[in-house]
Parts: sequence; C-alpha cells; structure tokens
Amino acid sequence: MKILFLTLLLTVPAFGASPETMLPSSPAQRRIERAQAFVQQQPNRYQAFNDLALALMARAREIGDAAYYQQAEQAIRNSLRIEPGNFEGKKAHVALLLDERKYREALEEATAINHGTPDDVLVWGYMAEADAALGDYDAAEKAAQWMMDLRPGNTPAYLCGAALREDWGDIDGSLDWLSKALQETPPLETEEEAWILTRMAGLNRAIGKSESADSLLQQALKVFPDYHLSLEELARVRMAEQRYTEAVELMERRNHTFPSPQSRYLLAEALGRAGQEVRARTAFAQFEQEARSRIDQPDNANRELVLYDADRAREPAEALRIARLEMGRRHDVWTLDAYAWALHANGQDADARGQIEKALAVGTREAALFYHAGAIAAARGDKGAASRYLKQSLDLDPAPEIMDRDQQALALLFTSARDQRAH
Amino acid sequence: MKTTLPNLRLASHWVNSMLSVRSSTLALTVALSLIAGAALCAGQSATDRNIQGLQVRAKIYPQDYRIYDGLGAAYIQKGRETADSSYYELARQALNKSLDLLSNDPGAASAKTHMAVVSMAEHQFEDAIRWAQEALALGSGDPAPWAILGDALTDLGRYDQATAAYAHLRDPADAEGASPGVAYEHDSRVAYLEFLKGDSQGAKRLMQAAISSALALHLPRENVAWSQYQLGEICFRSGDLECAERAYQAGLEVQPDSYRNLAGLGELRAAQRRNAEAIALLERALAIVPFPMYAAALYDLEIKADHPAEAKKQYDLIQFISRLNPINERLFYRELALFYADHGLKLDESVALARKEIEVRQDIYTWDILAWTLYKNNRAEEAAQAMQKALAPGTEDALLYFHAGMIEARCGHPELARTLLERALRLNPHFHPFYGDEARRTLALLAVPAGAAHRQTGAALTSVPTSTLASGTLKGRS
Repeated sequence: MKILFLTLLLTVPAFGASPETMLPSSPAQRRIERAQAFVQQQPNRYQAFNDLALALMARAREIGDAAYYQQAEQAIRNSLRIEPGNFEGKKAHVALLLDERKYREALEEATAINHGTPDDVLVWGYMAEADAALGDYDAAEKAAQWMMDLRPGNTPAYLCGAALREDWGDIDGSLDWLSKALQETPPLETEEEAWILTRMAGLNRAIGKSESADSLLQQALKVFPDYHLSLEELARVRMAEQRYTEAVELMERRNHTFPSPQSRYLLAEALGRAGQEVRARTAFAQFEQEARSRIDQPDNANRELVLYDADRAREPAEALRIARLEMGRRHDVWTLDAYAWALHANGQDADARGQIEKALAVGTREAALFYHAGAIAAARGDKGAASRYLKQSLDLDPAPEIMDRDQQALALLFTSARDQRAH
Repeated sequence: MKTTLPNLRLASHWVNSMLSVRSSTLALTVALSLIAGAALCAGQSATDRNIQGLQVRAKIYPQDYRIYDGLGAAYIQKGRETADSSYYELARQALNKSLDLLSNDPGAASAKTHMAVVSMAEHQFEDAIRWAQEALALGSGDPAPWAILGDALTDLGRYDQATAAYAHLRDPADAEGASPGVAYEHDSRVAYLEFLKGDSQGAKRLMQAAISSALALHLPRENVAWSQYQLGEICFRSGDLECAERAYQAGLEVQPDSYRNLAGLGELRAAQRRNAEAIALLERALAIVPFPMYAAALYDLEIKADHPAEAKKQYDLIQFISRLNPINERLFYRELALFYADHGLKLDESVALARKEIEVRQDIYTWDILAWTLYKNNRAEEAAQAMQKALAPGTEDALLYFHAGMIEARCGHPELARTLLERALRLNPHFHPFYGDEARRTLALLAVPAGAAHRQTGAALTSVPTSTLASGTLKGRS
C-alpha cells in the first residue's frame, strides 16, 4: 500500500547518511542527537521536544522501526505539557498519527488545526494524505490544490500531488512532480533523495519500465545504502523481471533488520515464485502470524492478509471478514480492491464488480488491479471486459502470477489476451 | 509576477510554465546575504523604525511567526549597517521565537534561511549550511536558501559544491532559466566564483550582468552600490584600475555613503599614490562602519605619510574593535592575523589567529593568510604548503602571487619566485601601498647570482611596513 510520508522532507535535515548498521550516524540520528542536546539545554522549550519528535519519526522511517513512534509520542506529550496546544506540537501529533496509519484521527485533528490556521501548507498536506488514505480523493485533491495555491512550487505539494496523480493513473504527471521535488532536494539529504528515487522507480516499474526503475534504485541505494524501501522496490523489479532468486536475496537483505508484515509477505511471494516452496510456506506462516496479530490495529497488513487468505490459505470467509473490517476504516483504492477480491473469492462476483469498479474509477494503473478486475469479469461471464482488463494488466506487467484457484476460463482468457498482445 | 496557480490535474508541461517563484525571502536575501555582505540600508533611521514597528506588532500579534521572522531580518540588517555583532544575537532570539511558532512548514523556510544568514554573519559556516539545508528541506520553492548554502560552501573552500548550489538559483516559472531577480542572485555570486577560478573577464561580465539586473529590478540603492563595489573589487584585483575606478564611482553615485565603495576607492587612490585622497576616503568609510581592515589600511597610509601619532590611533582602534565582544573577536581573526603579519607584530599570535580561522573557514584567502603568517614566522616550508592550497583554483590576484613569490624566494626557489612576483606586478603594478615596491626590490635581488640572491633575499624580507612607527612603539606594546 502506498504511503506518502509527506513529513519526510520536513524532518530529515541531513549531513551524510547511512542506515542503522552503518557508521557514522544517519541524518535522523544526527537530528535526534541535536534535538536531545537542545532538550537538555532548554528543557522548558517546547519546540525542542517537537523537533525531537519529528527526528524520531524520521528515524522510524529510515529503518522501518516503529518503536521510535512511542518515543516520538512521549516527546510530543512533553511539548504539549510545557505549552498546551502549541501549534507545532499539534502538527507533530498529526504527523505521528499519519505515520501510524491512524488516518481518521489524523484527519480530525488536522481539520481542527486547519480551522484555526487555514494558511498552513503542511496541515493541508496532512489532510490530503489522510483523505486519500481514507478513499476521499475529491477532498484530497482539494486539500492538495490548496497546498499548491498557498505556496506555488513548494516541495510537499509536489510530493502530495505526485501521490495523487499516481492514484489517478497519471504516471507521467506524477514522475514530473517527483522529479521537481528531487531537483529541490538539498545536497546530503540522502534519505530524502533515496525516498523520492524509490517512488520514481515504483512508478517506472508500474508501467513496465524495469530498466529505468533499476537504474533509479541503484542510484537510491548508492546515496542511502541498504535503504529498506529501495531494497523492497528493487525486489519487486526483480520479480517483474522474473529474476526471483535475486528478489529473494534482496528481500532477505531487507528483512535483516526490522521486517514488516508487508516485507515478510513480499519475501514469501518471492520464495514461492523462485520455486522454494518449503521456505515460502515458512515465510508465509511468519507473515500470517504477524499480520493476524495486527488485524485490529491501524498499522496493519490487512490488504496482504486478505490476498493471502483468498489466494493461498484458501480461507475466503476469513478474507472477507478482514476485508470488511478494513472497509470500516477506509475506502482507498487498495482497500476497495482487496474487498472486491475477497468478495470474488467467496463467489459474490456481482458485489465484487461494484467494488472493483469503484477502485478502477479512481484511475490507478496497476497490473494487479486490472488482473483482479479481469478475473471478476471472467467469473461473471463478461468475456469482453475480462479480456480488456487482462490485456491492460499484461501491458503493465507481462509476467503476472496466475493463482491455482483461478478458473480455467480465466486462464484461457489470459492466454488469449497475451497472444493478442504479442500480435 | 504571480501567475495562475498550477493545477494538479493539468499536464506537466503546462504546469512548468505557470509556476511562480517565491520572492519574499529572496528579496531579503538580496539585501542581507550577498557574498561579501550586503550594503548599507537606505538609512539607519529606516531600519530603526522598521524594528520599532515590528516590536509593536509582535506585542499585538504575539502568535504571528512572520513578525518575528521580519524582526530577525531587521536585526540582521541593523547588524550589517552598524557592524555591531550584538544585533545578530537579537536576530537569533527573534528567529527562534518565529521558529517556536512555526518550524515544520514551508512557511518556516524564511526564518531558517535568516538563521543561516546570522550564522554566516558570525562566521559559523557549518551552522549556516545546516540552517540552509533545513530551510531547503521544508521545500518552500524559494531558492534563497541555495544562495546562502552556496555562500557558506564558498567560505569553506568547497567551490565545486558552491557552484552546484548556485546552479539552483533559477526561477522555475521561467523557461529561459531565470527571472531578473534570480539572475541577479545567481550572477552576483557566480561572478565571485569565476574570479576565484581565474576568469576575471568572465567574472566582470557576470557582475555587469548582475548590475543590469539590479537596475532593471529597481533594487534598493545599497544593493546596486554593493554590486558596483563587487565589480570594482574584481577589476582592482585583476589590475584593471580604470574599470575599478568607474565601478566604485558608480557605486558612490548611487549611494554616496556606501562605505564599501569609499574604502574601495580609497585603496585605489593608495595604489595610484594619491595618499591624501586615500586617507580621506578611508576615514569616511571608517566613520560609517568601524571595520578593522579600514583602520589597517589607514595605518599603512599614515605610516607612509610619516604620521606616527595618527597611525597609532588606528592601531588602537583595530585592537579595540577586534576585542569589542567575543563575536567580533571571532569575526576578525583573519584581518587581525594579516595585520599582525604584515607589520611584524605579535607574530606568534598571527599564526594562532590564522589557524583558528582555518578551523572554520577554508577558502583560498584564509589559506593565503595562514601561509603569510607562517612565512612571517620564518616557517617558509609550511607556508609554501598552505600557499599551494590558496593558489589551487587559479585565482588571478596580485596579492596572492606576491605572497606566493616571497614564500618561494624564502624557500630557495628563485625561478619560481621570480615568475610569481612578475605575475603579481604584471597583473597589478600597484596592488598594495608597500608590496608593489617590495616585489620590485625582491625581483632585483633575485636577478643577482643565485647564491647571493638567496642570502640577500632572506635578509630583505622582514616586516616591510613596520618601518617608522611600528618598530619603535607598537612592538613594545605587543
């Protein structure tokens, strides 16, 4: 699932960089050290705690260790204790909620701040990010447009706009704004640079440009070695290239420190495609265990769990239960897609069609999405729509995986679409 | 120049042409932070009124971060006008208050940029880089922090990185590359880098272009005067005295009390041996802003005019200004080191000061001064090593070549010394009130047979300008 990390630019003033395992300290670590020094010098200065909170959040993102969020929350509490209701403290709290995927709460708090201070660019950005995550793309668009209107050319607006353009399927537009953000990235802001490069790589991969994606990721890993997000994306590129063994190696490297349920899922998928079924089963089991423990948490891996239950575990009812749970929280493209797929797995293809069409209406161009749409159409006997969707999926990813459980008719349509494309 | 705002749904190429550059911080930066410092503002009272007005507004609107940012900027301006570095501390307090109110938003980029300017003014170059980076990380779309970042990198001698930073000084709304405002920021800075790289002609062209931009933009008088001064400096250092004269005079025409142009013209008059005029001009400059380098130049001229009492006053003034407060002490390490070395005073301290400066600033002129102080302490080999770093970019500056030539002569490399000294004189025969003659004397000595020349040169190269007054009085005081 796409995570905007809008606060990234604002929290990592960097001087040289490296992840957890490397010396000297990373940009966020240095920021933490500096903020802690300020806290010691001026223990009653609330802004010092706000700076510390943002630095801790930046560190969490650098290495994917969510434990930093608890420390960040404590720092924000200290800030708000010293100066109740201070503006930056409240904003930092919204940023924390977004990082923790508590989108509804984040939107409520950001909206309240926005009512009091309607000209703060970043608060609009927080609202846009929360709106998009919750599936309200119109509201997200309005908020993002406010960002741009208030301060034309600001980088957070470019990043926010790029994410929305990606959702709308405007890949070129998204790449253009990411490029602009990249150009404005200050020297030595290495994690920021790597993050943007990784996003650009993801877009290139999504439209089948694996070579460009590879090149961008090599650049990202050069400026910020072992960056977990870049390694994950590179693994996806390798999978798209059907170089599954390399994908496995990359994901093992990525999961060496602070694996997430999503990264475990990706490793399991890579192992499966690499033909390492025994290891894949173990990896899926690890994923399942961790993902199930988080089902009720905002920062969950429910989309992956739905797909897993529907496709691998053959637990369609459980897939639908989890999908409905998640639909209670948000209606973004990916939640709609997962819900549609769970409905399809349970044979409720009419409802599945309704949900997948809602997802497609946003405009997102992603092979998996079209594949699901094609499978649902095929199950309903709509061969024309199925062929069209499957061809779109193949255009974006020429080597998708067809699950065993897919119907034979679908497989035939798929083969037909592939043949049409070849001609 | 605000244009229609970009729309998220619009095609990218259209958006490119519609973005407008942020100019608020840029305008302040033009006024506050050009490489050699900004010019005197339109009038002290105007800045004072601005400060007072902002203080009142801050009381009425204590939650408005913009007011504190503006107040910080006004204190910076006041600091530059008066050379009283305590204003920078006031600026820092106001900017901290602004950042307490807003620090995590593109709107805070201006305050962080001003923090970078304060750090620059206090010669805290690494801090300036950090603040500029933080300002850039906010992604405000305002290119001003790139300018300060480039300035700090220039002072740290990281010229390639500075060039890369300055390359960002362009207006995203302008398909041709830059609006006049951004072009001014770019050209005025890159001119200095071109000069450092030895391309004096290119530097002049860029500076002239910057002046054209400044005039077209109707920038404040002090900015235009500052630009003319910069052009004058490039011309003077590269030996084009006519060009220097025109530039300084043009600067004074725009702003009659431009202390930089007064001092520049004073140095030019000294080079032309019109010492009485030189003294009068430098005294005027010193009356406006008490910079120790102006007092040092006057000191030399008073010695030359055989006015020991007047020279002593300047010496005392230099000591007073430099020790006025801890910030001043740090700000004038380089000037003091050079002054002591030039005049054979406190030679140990001169090296110590130069070394302190090199810890925070590694540009070619700091390496040059370190080399010169080492030379004056009879540590010619070390001096030669430092001088190599000063000469590395290829700057066409007569004083640099003179220093290098004298050091090489002491190191026993007469051919190289001759080449360097001849180059200094060819570039600008009157580059310094004393050292032009000194270079010619040394060249004459180097012309005699090698062994004798080395011995004689070594004997002749001590404390040239300490004659008359310095040897009798000032040395005793130090």
